[in-house]
Order: sequence, then C-alpha cells, then structure tokens
Amino acid sequence: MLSKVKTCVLYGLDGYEVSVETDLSGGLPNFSIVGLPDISIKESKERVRSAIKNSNFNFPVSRITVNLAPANLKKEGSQVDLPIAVGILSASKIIKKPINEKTFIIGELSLDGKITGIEGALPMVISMRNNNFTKAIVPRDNREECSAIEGIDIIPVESLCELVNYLNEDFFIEPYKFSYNYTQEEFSEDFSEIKGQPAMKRAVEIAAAGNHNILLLGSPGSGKTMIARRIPTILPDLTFEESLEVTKIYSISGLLNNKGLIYRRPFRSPHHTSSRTSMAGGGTNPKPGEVSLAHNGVLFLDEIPEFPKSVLEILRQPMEDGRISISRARGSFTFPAKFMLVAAMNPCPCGYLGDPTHECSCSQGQIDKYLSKISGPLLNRIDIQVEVLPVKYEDLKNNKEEESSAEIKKRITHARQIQEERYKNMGIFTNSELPTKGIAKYCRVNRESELLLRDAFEMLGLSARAYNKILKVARTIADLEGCENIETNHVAEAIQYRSLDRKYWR
Amino acid sequence: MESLNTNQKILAWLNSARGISHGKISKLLEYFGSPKEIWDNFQDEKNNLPFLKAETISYLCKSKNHFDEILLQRLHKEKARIVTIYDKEYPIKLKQINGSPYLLYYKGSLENINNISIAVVGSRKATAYGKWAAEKFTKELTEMGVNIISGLAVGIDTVAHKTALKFSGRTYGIIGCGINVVYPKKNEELFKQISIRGGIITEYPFDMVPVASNFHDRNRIISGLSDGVLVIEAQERSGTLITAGHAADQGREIFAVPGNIDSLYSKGTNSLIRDGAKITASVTDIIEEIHGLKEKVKTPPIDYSKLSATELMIINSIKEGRVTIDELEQTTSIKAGQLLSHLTILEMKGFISQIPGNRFILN
Repeated sequence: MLSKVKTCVLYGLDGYEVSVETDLSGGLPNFSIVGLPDISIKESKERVRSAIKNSNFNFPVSRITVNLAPANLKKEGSQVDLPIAVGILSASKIIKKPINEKTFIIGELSLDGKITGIEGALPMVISMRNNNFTKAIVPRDNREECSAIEGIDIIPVESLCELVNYLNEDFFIEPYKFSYNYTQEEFSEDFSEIKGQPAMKRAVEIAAAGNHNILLLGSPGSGKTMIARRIPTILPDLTFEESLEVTKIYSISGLLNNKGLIYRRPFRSPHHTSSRTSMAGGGTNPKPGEVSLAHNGVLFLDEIPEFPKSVLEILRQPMEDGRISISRARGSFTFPAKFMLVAAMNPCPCGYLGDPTHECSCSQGQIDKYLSKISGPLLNRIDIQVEVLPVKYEDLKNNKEEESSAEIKKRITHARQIQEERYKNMGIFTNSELPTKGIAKYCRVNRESELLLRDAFEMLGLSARAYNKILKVARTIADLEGCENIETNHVAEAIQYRSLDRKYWR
Repeated sequence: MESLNTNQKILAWLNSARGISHGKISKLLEYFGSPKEIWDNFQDEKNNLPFLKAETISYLCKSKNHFDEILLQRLHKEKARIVTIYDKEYPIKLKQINGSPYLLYYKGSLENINNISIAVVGSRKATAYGKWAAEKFTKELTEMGVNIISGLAVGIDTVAHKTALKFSGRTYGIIGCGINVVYPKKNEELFKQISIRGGIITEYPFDMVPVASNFHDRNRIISGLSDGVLVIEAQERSGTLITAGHAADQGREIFAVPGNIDSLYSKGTNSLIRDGAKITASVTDIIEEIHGLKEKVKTPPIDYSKLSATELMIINSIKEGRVTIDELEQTTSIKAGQLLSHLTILEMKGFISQIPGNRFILN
C-alpha cells in the first residue's frame, strides 16, 4: 500500500522535483509527514484530512507515513497539499490507476475539497518541463500563467473530486491551451498629456532608446514624477521571453492576481522609506525585492537623496550585472534585476536652487551635503542627468497637439532594433550595456567631435567619468536618427545631458 | 632659518598674546614711543599699563625670553613670513589707511602686492548669477594683469580666487584667523594654490581661530590692499557691506554689480549703488575709474560674423531674454535635440554659458 506522486518546491526562481511517498500500514491510526517539511506543510495534514472527508472519500484509518524525498532538502509551500492528498487516496486505492511518473501535481487544498491557487506556479512548471515532465496538474486559478509554457500539458483542476475522477480516467480534462494574445494592455497615461517640456521629453526618449539610466533634476512641481510614470508607455513591447521572466518573478511574489502572462513593462516606485530587504529581496525564504519586480521595466526612485545610502548602494550590483544575489542561511538565491533606473531629485534641500522665481534658502554646505548623497559609484552608472524646468502657464493652457506615446515608441523600437542587430554577437542588447572595449569599437567619433569633447572638458569642467557616458549617449542619439556614424551634432547634444558634471553643481 | 629683525620680533611677541588687539598695540606704542622701547622697558613699566589685563602682562613677561625661537620654528614649518609696518616690503597701499596693521603674517610673496589690485567680494551664499558675474569680472581683470584680492570664504570669494588662478593671475587671500588655520576646510587646496600664485595674508597670530569679529577687522585689510572694491552680491547688513564701508573710509573706489530688485542677494549691492557706488555692468566701468588700467586693456570685441544663420537666431533669441531651453525651442522652432547641440557648440565657442535651471546667457 505504497504510492508515489511527484511535485515541486521552489528555491528562489528554480523549482526542484520532490517525490511524495505515502505508505499505509497497520497499527494505531496516525498521520505523520517526514522529509524536512516546514510549518505550512506540517499544517497541510489538517487540510488534507478535511478535504478528503468533505469530498466524500474515506480517510484511511491506519498508520499513514508521508515522506518527501529527497529527505535532505528543506521543503516549503502549500502546493504540497494536493500531492499529499492524491498520495493518500492512491495508497488507499481510491485512485486505482498508478500515477504517471512524468506527471507532477501542485495545488493548495481548501477544507471543502476545492483547489486554490498558489504562488510561483509558473517557475515550477518551467523547471519541471526542463526536467522532462510532460504533464502538470495545476490549480485552475494558475492555468493562465502556466499555459504559456510549451512542451508540457497543463491540466487545470478545480476540486479534489474532479482530480480523482480524472486520474481514474472517468472524466477527461482537456489540456489548457495557451491563447497568446500579444495585444499590449492599454496604459491609462500617455505622453501627449505632458504639455511643453520639449527638452525633457527628448532626454527621456534618448534614455528609453538606449536603456540609459536617467536622473531628473528639478524644483518641486516641475513634472518629474509625471514624466517618469509615462516612461513604460514608450518602451518597446516585452518579447515573449522577457514576458515570461517578468511573470515568473510576479508569480513567486504572489502578485499575479490570476492573470496570465504580463505583457506590460513593470513600473515600480518604492517609497524612500523602503528598507534594504524590500529593495534587494530577502526574508527567511527569500522573495524578490523591488529591483527584481522592476526587471525588464522601470525602477523609479523619487527624491533619491532621501533614500538611505545603504539602500542606494544595493542598486550597484543589479545595475552592473542585471541580477541580484541574496545569501541567507538557507542558501544563495539569484533573481534577475535588469531595470532602467529613473531617479528624480531636487537641486537642493529646499528645491529652488537656480529657480528664477523662488529664493533658495540653502547654504552651500547643505547643498553639497544633499548632492553628495548620490555621488560616486551610483552617479557613475547614470548616463543621463537633466534639469527639468517648471512648466509655464502658457504651456498648460496651450492646446497644441503633443506627440503621443505610440509615435515616440515607434522611433524607440526602431533604435532598439538597430542596437540589437549591432550587438547580436556580444550578448548585450542596448547601448547602455556597452563595455569599455565596445565603446572604442562602436562609438568612434570624427576629428571635429574629438576637439569638441576636449573643449567641453576644459570649459565645462566635465569629470573624466563623463567621457564614456557622453559617447554612449551620442551613440543612442545617432541610432535614433538612423545614422551609422556618430556626428558632431550628436556628441554636442550628448554633452548637454551631463548637468551634474557641470561646475555649478560642484 | 631666516632670522627676524627687531621690530618683527617685538611686534610678533605682542601680537601673540591673547588680549592684545591692534588698538592695544597702538596704545603701547603711544606710551613707549617705539617697539624697541616697549621691549626694553616693559618689565619696568608693567604696573603702569591699566589698559592691559593682568594675565596678558604676565604672559608677555613670561614669554619674552624664549619667544622668538618658537616663532621662527613655526614660521619655518608653515613656510610663512612676517612683515611689519616698518619694513620696506610692507604693502604701500595698506600703509595709507587708518589703522594699518602693524604686523602681517603671510605665505607666498608680497613682491607684486603694490600692482593695481581689485578686491572681488560678495556673499558666501552666492546665486548662480553672482558666481557668473564674479567669474566674468575676475577673468577680465586678471587678463589685464590686475591682482585679485578676496577673503577666501565660500561663495563669491572662492569663485574669484579660483578664476584668477585659472587664468594664471595673481591673487591674494586675506583671512581672519591664524596663518596655519585653514578655514573653510574645503578650500585647503585653494590655500595651497594661492600661496604659490600670490599670497595668503593675515594679521592674526598662529592658531587664532576664525571668530566672527576677526572678519570685521580683516575686511579693512581687503579694501586697504586694493585700489577698488568690486561688490558682486551682498545681502543687507552683510560682511560684504562692511568691506565696502571700509573702502569708502579709505577712499577706495567702490564698484557694485546691479542685480534684480527682488533678489535678496542684490539688496546690498543695489543700495550701494543708491549711495553712490559705481554701477558696474562691464569691466569698462572699472577701467574708467582706476588710474593706469586703461593702458592695459586688450580688447577682443565679440565677433558674431562667423556664426551660421541658425546660431545667430539662437543668439538673438537669448539677447531678447529667452533664456531657457523650452523658451528657445518655442521662439526658434528648432527641435530640442538639434537646439541642444547648437547650444553646446555655441558654449564651446565661448559665446554663451549655461547656468543652473537649464538657462543660457550671453558672455
């Protein structure tokens, strides 16, 4: 009276195969689970017992031992409820057919025998597919996300009763087929709502085209947040692979809300009181943090100098590698974290430095202190820094037709295609990722531009780190125009996007 | 090790005592007649000096014997020197004022201090406009070989010193603390540079900390060393206005850069203009008033003829007061991207400058 059912547990974003072995033997009735289960699995005893009873099956009156193999791996998650229930029913011959070895079962039970959705179904299905499983029995709530995976049959089930009938082949459930509709979800915001601000829009367009990190500097009420919120609307559509990556992260974070794949680029805007753990990810059983939730999208940090330095320093590894590694006692977990950083700040603590109509009440010491909060390595990774000007009343009143997000997006998508084509052998996609070696190769400038850059360094007091940034941004500007070579006017424009390097700020 | 002459030794000895100010030295000199006599007769007369505190007198008596050795060592270590009003190296202009300091400590060289000098002073909390003006005037004055005198404070002072150094001019910083004290700390590098390209000057003894009252007295040296004082920006009741007041008393020319009437930082300069300071909108205003400057002018008039039609259009727009990038985009109808690139090139050619707030101004 032994049965074996396969299921899956997650470590970070990777799923591991686990066998649920159930043995019924004589003796005093007892129900124990071994194999390093965590609390949620230990508690599943009660759910399983009630669910089986309330589904009108007999709960075997015997000594029940459930072993989760391999026994050395710590297991957690409520998805183990369903395989345990199936194991018991199979061992007590209520399920008559042996369960296929290439089928795995995940799902949480409710006391009435209904199967409820779980977190992380998508990464589990992907991992098990890679382990050559051919059939996945998943809660109905999770079918949308899971069905995007090819090469494995997704059997959505609603109740324990239904599943037993299915496994006894009394009842057939059609594998849920993926209906991939690539229609971009409508955004509620659009660039056409931003009046005036041509220079700012241009800078944002360039940043989006080359996936450059951008810092917006401006007095309160100049529209920094408004622009940042609209950046996802002009970014190119997520590719299928990118969409899967994003969905996986949201799946294990429990943020999917029964929806299928995520088609929209994420926009995360954590508040400056966010802790280090919420930013990087973590916890006893590490969950992705904001940097990972912003993967393939935009991470917007408003009032960036207000963030504690320790939180900002976390951004350095992801900005360099596109992923974040979290080490905890239970092991080391790596989550993807490739985002476009959009940061906003005031030019000084009171916000009015350089504002023509307001008095700045900060001392030079205060300003230096404020600006120094984001200096050094972090600033080093931000290619574009621009000042946002306050919107003028005339612009607000103006009914001039502004360009829509769709039009801007078209240009950006085109520029991205050029970049992808150029870097296809380098394993990178955009200009912002270009390593120093690549800059020498792909960002060559003519003699005239060389002279211009030299003058700029002397006259504007640009810092040395600005050099490569200017070249990269110039490359993006050229790509936006479809130019193969970087021309002098591209370099000249790029120089304008280094506001903070100017001497006035230092 | 250089040795000190008698007057230097005696005045430095007096100066090193706490409680001996410029005024006390004057009284002592009046009482005794000369430094030499103070030195010789101090012990005998010490009970007849009611204007000195007892601890000051006892310090002076105690330190008298071994004083010069320590001083020489410190001077040597700091590479500083002493000059007294009796020495021929003493700045001529400073001798002419009321209350010339009897003794100066300095680093660097005083060789050229008697050349034409302009003090460039202004608020510690300078606006972008102020910094720009300080830079512009300092640059133009420096190019004529004028010494730039200022107070080594943050804000306008720092801009003035830095600009003078940048264009290889001579600049002197007058400080309100001991010659070995660097204040503000962040100007440490600037201190070093100035002592190479000009000099750091103070009337205060070693280790004197920068207390507020020192700066008041320090300001009379700034104006005293100069032929004219250029006030860039000043708030009402500021130290900058004190300098201007000293300048007026000493018969120095006062130049004030006008500012917006709604700007806090121009209240002081505007009221100076009302009281008769020379309104200074370009360096010619200074040249007209300072004797001997006219000969030194090298005039390269701004030549717009080589600019393209688009560049001229931008220049004209800025002239009309369209100063932000958004305004320029509207008036010239050039796309933001191209406009930015034109602006960079114009800036590189030296026709315009950018100031915080993404605003552009003509040079």
